[in-house]
Amino acid sequence: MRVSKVLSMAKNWSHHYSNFPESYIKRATEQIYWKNPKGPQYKPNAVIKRKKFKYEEDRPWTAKFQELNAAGKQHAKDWIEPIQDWSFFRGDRVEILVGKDKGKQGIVSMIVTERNWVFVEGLNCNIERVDNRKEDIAHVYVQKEAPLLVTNQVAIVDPSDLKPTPIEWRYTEEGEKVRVSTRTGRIIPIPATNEETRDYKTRRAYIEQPKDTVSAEVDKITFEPKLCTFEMDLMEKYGIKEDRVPPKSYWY
Amino acid sequence: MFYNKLLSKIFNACSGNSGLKSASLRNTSAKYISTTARRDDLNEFFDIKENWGVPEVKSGRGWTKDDLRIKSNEDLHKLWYILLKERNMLLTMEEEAKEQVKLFPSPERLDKVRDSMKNLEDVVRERNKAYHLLETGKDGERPVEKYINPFGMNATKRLYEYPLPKHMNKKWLENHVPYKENNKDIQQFQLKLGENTFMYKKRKRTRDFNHVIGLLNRFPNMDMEALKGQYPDVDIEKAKRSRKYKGWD
Amino acid sequence: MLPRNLIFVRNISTTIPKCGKKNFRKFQLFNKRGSRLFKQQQAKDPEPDLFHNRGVREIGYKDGNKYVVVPEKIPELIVPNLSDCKLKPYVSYRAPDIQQDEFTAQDLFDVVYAPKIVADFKENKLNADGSPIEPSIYEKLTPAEAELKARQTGTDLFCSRDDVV
Repeated sequence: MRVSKVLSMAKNWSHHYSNFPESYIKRATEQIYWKNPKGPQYKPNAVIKRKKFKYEEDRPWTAKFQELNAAGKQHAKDWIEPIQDWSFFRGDRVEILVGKDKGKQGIVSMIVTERNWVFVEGLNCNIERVDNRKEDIAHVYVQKEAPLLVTNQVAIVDPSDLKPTPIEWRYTEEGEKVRVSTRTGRIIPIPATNEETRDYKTRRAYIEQPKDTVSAEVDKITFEPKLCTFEMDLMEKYGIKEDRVPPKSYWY
Repeated sequence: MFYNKLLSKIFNACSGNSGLKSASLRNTSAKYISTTARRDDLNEFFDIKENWGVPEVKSGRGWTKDDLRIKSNEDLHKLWYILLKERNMLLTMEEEAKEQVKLFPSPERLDKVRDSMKNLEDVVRERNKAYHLLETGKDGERPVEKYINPFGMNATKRLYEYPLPKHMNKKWLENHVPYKENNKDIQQFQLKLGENTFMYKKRKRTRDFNHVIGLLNRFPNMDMEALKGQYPDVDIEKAKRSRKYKGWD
Repeated sequence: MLPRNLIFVRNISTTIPKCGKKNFRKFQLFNKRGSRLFKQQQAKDPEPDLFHNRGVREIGYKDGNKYVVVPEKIPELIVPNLSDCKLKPYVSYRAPDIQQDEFTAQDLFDVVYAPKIVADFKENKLNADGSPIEPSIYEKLTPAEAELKARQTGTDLFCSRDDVV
C-alpha cells in the first residue's frame, strides 16, 4: 500500500495490529448505560454513556481495559501532547534518551497513540512481582517494558550512521509522503514488519479461510453501466414483467 | 402506495435456502420445475461444528465500496443474500452463546458483515441515483423535508405518499397543525432552549481554553500547528496572557 | 458473627426509597405489556398509538369491520440462485486494494449518450438547437417515462434520513 494513502486515512496505529474494523472497536469501547428504546420517543437522542476513557497498554476490547474503565471508576486526567503526524511504527529502530537504558537502541514492539506511547522490545523494563495464590509455589518475577513518550523520550535511528535523529515528513518527487532525517537528509522508510497483523505476517502470506473470496474473484470487473436502475436490471435478467401503472400520488 | 420488497432488509432469511424464487404470487397458474437440488438445511443458521467452542474463528476483511463498485447488479444481488445468511448465522451463534453463558468467538465478524452490507446498499443507491439524476433531475429516493416542529425547532421529516392532494386530505390537515410563531409557551421554551445551547457552547469554550493553558504549561516545546489543528477555536496568544499560564512568553 | 443474610434487623427509611425504573414516559406498553386492568381497558377501547406490528407492515386496510387485502402490498422477495456464486461473505487479505470512484450521473451519460452525440455531430445529424434528428430509444425517453419505469418495479424506496420519523 502506498504510504500517502496510509497516512491520509489518519489511522489510529494502536489498532493496526489487531486488524479489527473501526465499528467493532467503537462498539467494544463504548459503555452505554441507557439508550432510548426503539420507537417514537419524545426525546429521541437520549444516550447515557461513559465519555472519558483511560488508555493504558491494554487494548479497548480486552478485559483489563474494561476493568480499568468499569462503570463508576474515575481517573485523573491524562495530559496528551498533540502531534501532527504520527511517525513511529512497529519494527522501527529507536534510541532511548532517558532512564536507565539511555543510549541503547531497540525495536518498537507496540504503539499506543492515545497516550503518545511506544514500547521498545526488551528495554526500559520494570521487574514486577506476580503473586501466586497457591502459597507453596514461589512468586514469579516478570520483566515488563515500561512505555516511552514519543515526543521527548525516544528518537528514530538513522539507518545510514545508526545515530538518533529528528525527522520530518516530506514529499518525494513522485508525490509520496516519506520520513526524512533532518540531520543527514536520508529517507527513513516505514519498516516492512509494520504490515504485520494478528491475521498475517505479510498480506501475501495470509492463509485463506473457507469463507474468504479469492483474489481473482474480487478483481473481476463484471459491472456494465446501463440506463436502468438496479431493480430494473434484475427484473430484466429474471424475466419479471410488470405492466401495472402506479396511480398519481402526492408527497407531503 | 405499494412497498413491495425486492431487496430483503428484514432478518428473516426466507427459508434460508438457495432455491430460485421468482415472482410466483401472480402467475399461480404456471407450473415450476426446480433445476437445482433443494437444500432445506436449517443447519445453515449455525456455524460448522468445527467452530463450536473454539476461542477464535479467523476470517478475511469486509467488502469495501471500491470492491463492490466493479461488480454487476446480479453479483451484488447474490452477494447481499450471501452476506445476509452469514449475518443471520452469526447472530444465531451470538444469541446461543449468550444463553449458554459461553464465549462467542471473533465478534468482529459481525461488524465486517454489517459494514459490507451497508457498503453494498450505498453502491446500489449510487447507481439508482445516477439513473434518476440523469433522467429526471431528482435523486429518486424518498423525499425528505425540513420544517419547524410544534416546539419551534428545526426538524427534518420523511414525506409520505398519498392519493389525494394536500388541500383535499381532511384527515391529514386535522393532524398536522402548522407552527404558530406568536405562541407564548413556545416563545418561552425557545428562550430557555437558547439559554441551554448558549451555556453548553460557553462551557465547552472555557473548558477547551483552560485545557490549552494546561497543555502549554506541561509541554513547553509543543507543536503549535498540531495544537491549532486540535483546538482551532482557542486563541493561543490570549491563553498565554492568562494568569494560569506559568511560562515566560 | 453471623452472615449478613441471617442477621435480622429492623430498618427505618428516612429517605424516599428509589427502586425500579422511574422513566415512565419511555415505557412502551405494547400489546402484552401492562397490568391486568390496563389490558382490560385496552381490549374495550384500544389506544391506536399503542398497537405494535413488530416491524411488519400492513398488507391492506380496514373497511368498517372487514379487512381488505391489497395484493400490491404483500411483499415479494426475489431470491437468486446462490449455488454457482463464487463470492463469499469476506474478502481475502491477499486481494489487492481496488480504487474505484463513485459512479455518478456524469459517468452514466458518458457511457449511454456521449458516443451517439459525438457520432451525430460528426455526421451533421444534429438540429440547430442540438437535439438529434434520429433520436435513439434513450434520447426519446422523457423524465416522466423514466420515473414511471423505475416506480413500476414496485420496490421500496431508499431514504437518506431513515433515522427520522
